[in-house]
Amino acid sequence: MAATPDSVYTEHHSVWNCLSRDAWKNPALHGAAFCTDYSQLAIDVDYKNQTDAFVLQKGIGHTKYQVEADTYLRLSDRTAVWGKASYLTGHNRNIKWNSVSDYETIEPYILADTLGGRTETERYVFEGGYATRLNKLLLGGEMMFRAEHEYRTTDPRMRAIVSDLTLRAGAAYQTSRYNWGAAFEANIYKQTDNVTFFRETGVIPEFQLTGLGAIYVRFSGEVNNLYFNGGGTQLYLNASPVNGNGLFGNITLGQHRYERIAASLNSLPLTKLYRHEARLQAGLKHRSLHHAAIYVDANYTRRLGDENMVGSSQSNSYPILATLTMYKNDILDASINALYGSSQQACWHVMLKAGYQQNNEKYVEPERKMSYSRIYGMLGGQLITGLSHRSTLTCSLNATYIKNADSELSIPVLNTETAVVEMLNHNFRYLKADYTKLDASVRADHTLADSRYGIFAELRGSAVFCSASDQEQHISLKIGMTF
Amino acid sequence: MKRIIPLIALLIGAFAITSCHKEQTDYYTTAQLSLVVPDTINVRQIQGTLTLQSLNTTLSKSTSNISNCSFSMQVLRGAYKVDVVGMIQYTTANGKLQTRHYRAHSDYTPFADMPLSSASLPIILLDE
Repeated sequence: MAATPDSVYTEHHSVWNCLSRDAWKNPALHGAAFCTDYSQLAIDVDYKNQTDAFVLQKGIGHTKYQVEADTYLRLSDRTAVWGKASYLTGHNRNIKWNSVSDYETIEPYILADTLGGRTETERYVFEGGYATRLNKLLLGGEMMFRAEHEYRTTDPRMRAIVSDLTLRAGAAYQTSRYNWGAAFEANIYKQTDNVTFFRETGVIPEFQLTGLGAIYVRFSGEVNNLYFNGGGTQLYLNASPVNGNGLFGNITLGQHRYERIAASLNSLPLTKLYRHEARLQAGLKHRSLHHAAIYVDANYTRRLGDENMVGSSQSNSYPILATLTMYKNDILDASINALYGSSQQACWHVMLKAGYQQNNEKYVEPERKMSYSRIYGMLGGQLITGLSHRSTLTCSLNATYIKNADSELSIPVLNTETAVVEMLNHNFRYLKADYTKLDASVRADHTLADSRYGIFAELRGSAVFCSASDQEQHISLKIGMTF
Repeated sequence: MKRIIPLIALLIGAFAITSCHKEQTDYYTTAQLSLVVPDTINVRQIQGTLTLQSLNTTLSKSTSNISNCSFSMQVLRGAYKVDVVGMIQYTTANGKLQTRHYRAHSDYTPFADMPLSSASLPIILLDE
């Protein structure tokens, strides 16, 4: 008969926690998330490779090494603190059509070239939070800071430096059955970019992309010094049952904006991307001898891109003639999820998810359109079991199938650079494909004798099979200590 | 709880106000280009083709619809390179009837005002 797994470990690592992750974005509720302290110090290596890039701008894979410290401490029954610090270094392989960092955040308004190549990257992350309880009022605050540096050591030598600061303050009021929470988040984002060439004969143009292959031709070529000023706000509303059983709901509303500014043209603003998000997670969960939950998860994102139509320069100052919303993107992702399990002896859960995704992109003039919709299903499970009274084994296995339901790409080929058409066709080939994904992980924890310290090793691997005859392998190994 | 509800309402209100972004959908304007002919001639008939090339996208749009030495067509608001070529029939001050090619060109002309954006260009009469 298997031994009972470590209860502290189970509290912090059970997949059941995915039901509360949205609520814990409110720091006041995060302060009441766990009854126990848990800290982890780990180093990990992460390797990903695709036989061909699914998205050219993201490259074919990476090798990254990370050191990470993560802690959650209860200072008293009323107060909790948590924090995280990490350093990551490594490289991304064969990135094309992308000379910026954080592609997913600021695309399509990026600087890009046809050559690309491997980029080196390093990232520092610091996070910290504090929450306390004043009778029935829970209060909390947290701060997250990320600094990232990405660069290439061969032509075209791109260099991007990102600083990303998020501050969050939250409150919750406890009634007899529910914690009613609200939190507000403010984000400040900045990225500076430049691309230089050391070989004079190897200089190629850097394109200012404006969406679906459109290029801001006038400022493409030698305008290689940019910066992105951005940021936004987010509002979280939560209804969370006090004893963990009952209906729960989380609403997130967010807006962010990212302005692309040409530093070498007297800080001329070229484009501005607006991102509006709404997210709803709501369902029913019940935890007694057995655990069961069913919930819906819906995300809607609307992204609008304003382009500045710029006049003739006078004394190196460019007038803005008009601002037009040329790029529009609507993304919907909705799923219904079920979770069932138990933690009587071993802690086990099975998960089932079925969802629908839709993405519509449009560029106004000359008209370009791209859209796709997908249905997907996921079946997964997690088992946390004790190997002995000091050892715990965690296994998880997930299988996902994504089926394309509809897809369309419409671009004015005659008015578009040949290389851009090839890029769009390449990416669309993978957007309209079907995917089968398998991922598995095994983790072994061992508590040292007569000590609160433990050691662990975790191996995680995944394989993605694409109907376009390509595949992805992803493997990571993490070792560390817990206390 | 009674204090929390107004606070949440305030948060939602503040969020709604700060998150508003109005789509800028006044994409097009009517670009009107008037040709300025030398005042020493009296135009009897004029034909020509106007080509506007967007400086932002490099896309071109043309029209041959000319009336009273003036072209008009709907374009995306922005800055344009202007090219006009055509033929003009006119009488000189001494009453002589002549027909000649002409052209007009500008590297930069903004057409951004709404709903009508006007500009004028002098024509250059080419050698016979």
